[in-house]
Amino acid sequence: MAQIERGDAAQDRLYAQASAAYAPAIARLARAVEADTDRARDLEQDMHLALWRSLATYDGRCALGTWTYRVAHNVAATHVARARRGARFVSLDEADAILADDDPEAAIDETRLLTRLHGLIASLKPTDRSVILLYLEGVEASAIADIVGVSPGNVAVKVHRIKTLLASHFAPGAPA
Amino acid sequence: MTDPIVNLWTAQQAGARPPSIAELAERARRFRNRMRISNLVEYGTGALGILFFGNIAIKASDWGVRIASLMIIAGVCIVIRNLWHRRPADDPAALARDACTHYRQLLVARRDALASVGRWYIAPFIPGMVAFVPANVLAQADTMPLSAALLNGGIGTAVIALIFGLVWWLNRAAARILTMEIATLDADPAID
Repeated sequence: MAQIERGDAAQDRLYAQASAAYAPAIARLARAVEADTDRARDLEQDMHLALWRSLATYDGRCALGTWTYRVAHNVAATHVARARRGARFVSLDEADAILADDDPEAAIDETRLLTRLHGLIASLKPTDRSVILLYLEGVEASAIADIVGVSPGNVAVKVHRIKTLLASHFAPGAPA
Repeated sequence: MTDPIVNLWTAQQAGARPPSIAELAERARRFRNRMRISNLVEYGTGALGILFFGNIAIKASDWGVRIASLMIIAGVCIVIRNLWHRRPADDPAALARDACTHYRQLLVARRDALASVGRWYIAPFIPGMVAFVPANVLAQADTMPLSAALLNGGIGTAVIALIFGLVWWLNRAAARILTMEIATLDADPAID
């Protein structure tokens, strides 16, 4: 805790770099795992606090982006595990069934499309949830593997499933 | 070519601004205060239990009741100590582990705490309770018919057993669900 009080300059500098680059991604992650606006904002602030505190021990062994995503996703996973205790989540393989025909008009309306995408993300198991969120952030497959702790080959398989799922249910003109 | 859904996704919250260091420091201070209050409530409840049974231990005329009260106080002290040792570790760097490792450790820690609740939370109270009920029945038998004292003792025992039993059963059931979740995670060929 002493580290927090000292507000170490290197820690603050690293935080400034990380937050400047990833604040929008952190905000999106918080809103993807928490539907309530106020609680999502609170979660976003918790992610920033956890990131700032964790950077006191950052040793450069992984990229700052990898570190930032790991901390943010782990805070998100802890939040979901606490807030949705006992909820049943599905894998990417099972997601097709839950998207069958929940909103046929969604593909032509961006807001409804995003709502539907948030619904899909909320229903996924933690690992698959992290992979799809990182894919949507445009993170490279090798970095996703490093952040999530899944082999690069398996990230490639999951990303392929995600692309198929998005193309068949979320692309304009796709049958819902 | 970038996926249009990726573009749509990343267009959200594009103007999000991070909190300043001063805001973070303030949030950290509030977080520590919340932890202090939570600890105060948790350990304060234990202290109230100690005061309650301490009062009985001092004022009761029956030595059996006195000794049983002291045994319950010992049980409360053990539970408080166990709560202290089981408090979440303040290790911000642990959050930088990969997501699968973090999630598995989260589940394992929760499962272990729930599965062992009988040992670290319920068991310390049992010797004191086992001693307290018959001692209280014998003490009451001096002022009321033995059958009425036995009935009181029986009802008391049943209520305590029901509460402890329910706590134990619910925690074990939750631990079993977590064990299954951990097994599913371990069986996932995608995870290293």
